[in-house]
Amino acid sequence: MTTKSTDPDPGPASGAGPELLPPAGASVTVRLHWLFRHALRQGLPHPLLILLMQYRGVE
Amino acid sequence: MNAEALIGRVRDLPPLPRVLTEVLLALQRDDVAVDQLSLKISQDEALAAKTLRLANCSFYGVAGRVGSIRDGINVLGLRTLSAALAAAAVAGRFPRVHCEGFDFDAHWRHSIGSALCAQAIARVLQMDESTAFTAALLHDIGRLALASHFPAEFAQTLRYQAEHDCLTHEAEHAVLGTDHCELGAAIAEHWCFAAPVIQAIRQHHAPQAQGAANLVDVVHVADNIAHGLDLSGLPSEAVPPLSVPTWMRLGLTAEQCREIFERVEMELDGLCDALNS
Repeated sequence: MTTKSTDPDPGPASGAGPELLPPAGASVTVRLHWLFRHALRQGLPHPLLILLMQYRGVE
Repeated sequence: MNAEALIGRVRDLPPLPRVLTEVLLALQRDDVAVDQLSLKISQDEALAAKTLRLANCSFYGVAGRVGSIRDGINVLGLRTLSAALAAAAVAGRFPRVHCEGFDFDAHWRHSIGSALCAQAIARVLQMDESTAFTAALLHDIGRLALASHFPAEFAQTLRYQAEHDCLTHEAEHAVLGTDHCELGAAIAEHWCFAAPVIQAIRQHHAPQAQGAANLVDVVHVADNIAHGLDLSGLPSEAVPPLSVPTWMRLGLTAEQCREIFERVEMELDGLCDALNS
């Protein structure tokens, strides 16, 4: 089941970085960035993140 | 407790029930007779009940219509039955004790979700679906063993992981000197699982950089997808690093990935109910 995001939350663009954002009650975008925080923190490529962003409707 | 002591304790785990071992060995043969297998399964009440529950699971499309072990075997197929019974056996070996920070239900949702992912990937790549299902289902068996048999030590590992927001196996190495991959492989060896399954458990966080796509690759990517789909529902959930060479080797298209995501999310709850009941 695909979850379309209607949350206006712009995601992790606050400048704080996804690892500092609380996961509870977060938007789909923020939650996804939280899930991938280790790869993002280290600047590692993670093709799944893009695919899951599209799948969750938050590209 | 050091790594050698942990692995030594794992090897002291009681063997699998005799009937189950016989069934699993029989299922590895190409010439296994359904009647003979049916008789063996019928000798064990728990295995018989599990076989019927699985065959009647809506996942297999015949909900509530399978009444005999023989029909159950025919519905599931021999290889799927093998995978399912292995899962049932493993689950039964690890009692749900209190381990602070560890959620047994979330663990099984992740394992079953990974198994569905691996099965779907294997189908796309025309690899053995049942072996992929089994290997992915058991890939984190080391975590289950730690939570069930070493709850104090594992709770300490989970605290370390939370404090440092690091990866599971990094925390395990820091606290225990080993990780769930090595422990899981030791358990799978102890219980005589097939060599490719043992290898997939041992290497699922560190697949080889070269060579043709194999079972380790499938389990590595399936584990990543299951974490990425957030199947466990844990607030602290995290996707481990993905081996890009492995990802490239599998060559899944965006459309195939989308179909895998949809299929896994659609089938997860039904299969969780059937395997956990």
